[in-house]
Amino acid sequence: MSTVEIRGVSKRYGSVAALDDVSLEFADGEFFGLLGPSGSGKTTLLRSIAGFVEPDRGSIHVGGEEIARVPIYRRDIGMVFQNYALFPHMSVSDNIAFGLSVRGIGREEIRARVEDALKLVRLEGYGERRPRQLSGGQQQRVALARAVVSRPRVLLLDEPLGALDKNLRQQMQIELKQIQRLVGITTVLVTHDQEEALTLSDRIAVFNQGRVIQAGTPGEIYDSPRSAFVADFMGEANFFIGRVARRQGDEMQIVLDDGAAVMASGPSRLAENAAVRLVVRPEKMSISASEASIPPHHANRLAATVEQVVFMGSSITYRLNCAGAEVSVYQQNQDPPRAAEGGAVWISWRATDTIPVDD
Amino acid sequence: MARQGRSIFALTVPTFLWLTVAVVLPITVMFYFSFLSASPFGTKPASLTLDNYATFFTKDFYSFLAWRSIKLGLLVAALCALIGFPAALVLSHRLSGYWREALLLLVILPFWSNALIRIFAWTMVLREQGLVDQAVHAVLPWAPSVGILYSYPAIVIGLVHSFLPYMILTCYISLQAIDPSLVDAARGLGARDHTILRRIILPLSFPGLAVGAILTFVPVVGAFMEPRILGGRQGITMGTVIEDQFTEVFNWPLGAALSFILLGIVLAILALCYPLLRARFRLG
Ligand SMILES: Nc1ncnc2c1ncn2[C@@H]1O[C@H](COP(=O)(O)OP(=O)(O)OP(=O)(O)O)[C@@H](O)[C@H]1O
Ligand SMILES: [Mg+2]
Repeated sequence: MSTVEIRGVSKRYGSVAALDDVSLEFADGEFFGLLGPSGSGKTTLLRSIAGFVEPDRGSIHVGGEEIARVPIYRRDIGMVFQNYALFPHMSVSDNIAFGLSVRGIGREEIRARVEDALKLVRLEGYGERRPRQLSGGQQQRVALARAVVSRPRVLLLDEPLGALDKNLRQQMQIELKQIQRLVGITTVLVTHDQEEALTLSDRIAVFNQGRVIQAGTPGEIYDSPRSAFVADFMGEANFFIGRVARRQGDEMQIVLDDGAAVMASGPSRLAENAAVRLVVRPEKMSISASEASIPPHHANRLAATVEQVVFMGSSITYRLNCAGAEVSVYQQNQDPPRAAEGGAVWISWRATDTIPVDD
Repeated sequence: MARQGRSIFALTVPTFLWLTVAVVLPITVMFYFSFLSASPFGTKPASLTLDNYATFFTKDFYSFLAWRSIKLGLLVAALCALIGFPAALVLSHRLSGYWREALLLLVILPFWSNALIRIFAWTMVLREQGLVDQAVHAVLPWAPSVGILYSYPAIVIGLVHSFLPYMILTCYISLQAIDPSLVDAARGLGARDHTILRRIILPLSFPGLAVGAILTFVPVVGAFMEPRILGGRQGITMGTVIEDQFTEVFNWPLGAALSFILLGIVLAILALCYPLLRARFRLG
């Protein structure tokens, strides 16, 4: 069992709260993403689990065992550093073998397991090279092999793909996920690339200023952000500000500042007359040339003018002006463009796609 | 192209001139002296001869001295490494900020004091009734005298003190260059302090250790001030004998020949170590 339980962990550096009462649980075999802006405490949490940082308060349990008093060399936690931290004076094989040899494992077994690890990361035949003689992606795979070869209870990845270019990064994301499934190890991935977190993680925690703002599955985080911060951080979001005019069960009518009415549907804690901020994802909106051609199930409709049409390849991004507010809409690149720059159009979306969020 | 060539020429000429005047000329002159049968500027007419070199190989006394000087060089270099490396390790990996700067300054400070003064200061410390002796007797009044001035250990102490800063600085520089995340990585993989030292820190800082050892060994083999002042009758080394040829006996040709033999021995030792050094340096 390699569950990780983090309970009320805090860490201060001078006046900076690097971690502020963080509580999270990683299930056995789970791939957990830590996401957040720079300086939000992701690395500090990872280093606390690994043992390089001693939290001021709180406790961390791995497999049910409190690890505060367990020295680093007995924590049995694999870590991949942002810069890989490969030993430059050792061959690739010796790098991978390091963790096994310090545990006093026999020569023959080490050789076999290093061989397996090289196969796992598809680097057979590279064992005798020095790290310097490898490409960035290959070095990253050596670091991964070195971290998993001793079969640690938990694998910690601190922005492991940060240094790679976009193509290699996407390829490595797929490989990383495959390897993690294969080894079945509880994995924590730090990244500030939201797409990477969404693609790889079973669950995600979004950090800001040392706090967990929201944790959940990628779907929950993306489709039901609880705060404007999470909505904004996880992809693009259109914001509207208004007041709850009417509530009936899960149905809510909100009057925007400019007088237009918007419907929202879904559980909410908001009372009538409360000020509210709404989020609508750009891909949930449609553009129609006339009011008559709005899809019938779209309860919300606003008039807008097109300011910019950006061709993105698989999709088209429209930047619109909607009663003074800027709104983005993504459309699949299937139909001919529905509007030209400067044209008057209607934007519309379903009531369930209106997400009320906290400020 | 031509203009660039000219400006490089103009920029390097002063350096070459300086090297010629300060290094090549004196050494060439000395090399010439080493083949003379009598001192230059003397009354006796001088002719060219190999006798001075032959002296070294015919008289056991000289090869004994050369061996003694080399052993002294090895001992001092080893002691400097033994003391200097841990000191550099503490400076680079345990301390930071104000304390590190203050201690580094203390390490460099001896460089700025006059070598002669430094060595004479040691005579105050090491002689009978000196500082060490008095301190020991303050605690253990019945102990025998522990003045070790004019002994081999006194020479070693003086030399280690003189050359320790080189060792600390070269080790410090190469230890500084080690990425701290390598140490974290090793620890995370299950290594304990002694394993990290042996398998990560030592190999990666080896260049600093090697350069420090060379910077210590080479001058110690030819040193004459410390042996003379601190060694007394024990203080006869290759360095002091050579110095005597110039300042006391006025046998410049023999002094010059012995210098070149010593230089040859040192270069031969370094050449023997070269393959080993090169292999270790390349890992960088
Ligand atoms: N050793 C330290 N000394 C002082 N402050 C620190 C130290 N380590 C981290 N901090 C501070 O703690 C906060 C959190 O840092 P942390 O490295 O955990 O951020 P992060 O989320 O990993 O950021 P990034 O995405 O840039 O890597 C930052 O404000 C940082 O300046
Ligand atoms: Mg970080």
